[in-house]
Amino acid sequence: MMNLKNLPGQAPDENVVKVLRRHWLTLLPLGFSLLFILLLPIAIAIVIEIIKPDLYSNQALTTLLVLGGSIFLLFAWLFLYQNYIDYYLDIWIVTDRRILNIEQHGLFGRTVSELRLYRVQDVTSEVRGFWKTMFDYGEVYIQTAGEEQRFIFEDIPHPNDAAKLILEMSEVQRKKHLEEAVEEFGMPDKKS
Amino acid sequence: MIPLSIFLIIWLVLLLAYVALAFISIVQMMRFALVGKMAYFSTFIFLSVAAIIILIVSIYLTTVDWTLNLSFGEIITQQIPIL
Repeated sequence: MMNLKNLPGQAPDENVVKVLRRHWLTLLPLGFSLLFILLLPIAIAIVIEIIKPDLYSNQALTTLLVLGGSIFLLFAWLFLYQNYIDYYLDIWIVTDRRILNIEQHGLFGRTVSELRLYRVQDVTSEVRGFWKTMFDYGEVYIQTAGEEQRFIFEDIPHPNDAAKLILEMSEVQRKKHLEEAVEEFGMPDKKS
Repeated sequence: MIPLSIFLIIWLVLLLAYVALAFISIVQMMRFALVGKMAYFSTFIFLSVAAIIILIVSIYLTTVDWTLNLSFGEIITQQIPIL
């Protein structure tokens, strides 16, 4: 398991500031599909009981229904667990030096990307739609210098706060980075 | 006429595939999740529900007479008299 005190490539004095995941509301469609999937075999059994109650007197057929129903339920349950894994393993970690974007794509795909805070140029938060406005969740787009591709935090809670935090921290890091550069190379000569 | 035991063998093969997929999923969860209660809790819930389903079905399967045969033609004509 990944420990926040031991992140990949972590500097000794680096601290985790925020860990972000998608809003819990994005799990609701998964919850509804769980309910539907769980109720489907039960509903079918009840319908058979009402329409053809004598069907259950055939033991061979009942056994076949039990075998099929149980495998259906087991695989549906596994499918939901895998979807939950997909949700749970998508994480954005903001430290006082960088942003880590960890994305799980299905069961066998995983992307880990990293962005130094001093390279952040522009941060945009977006809350669009009824539910997102009601529950205050949405996207944060992070643009870096010289890169077309943006870092995107998807469906995170309180995107405005997260955007503000990242902007403030990137400002601090930029100043720090500049001071370090001046210390190392000196002030640039204005005449040249 | 198809022996009922054939369906049991198919069920066992599918169950084996299920166990393999579940194992891979749990390994991924335990390897990449952040240290925390939710990772353990959700895995525990997943395993518990799966174990309960398998247990209930296994108890039922011990009561089945596996020498029975299944005839789909017979079932269809019994249930839909017009055929």
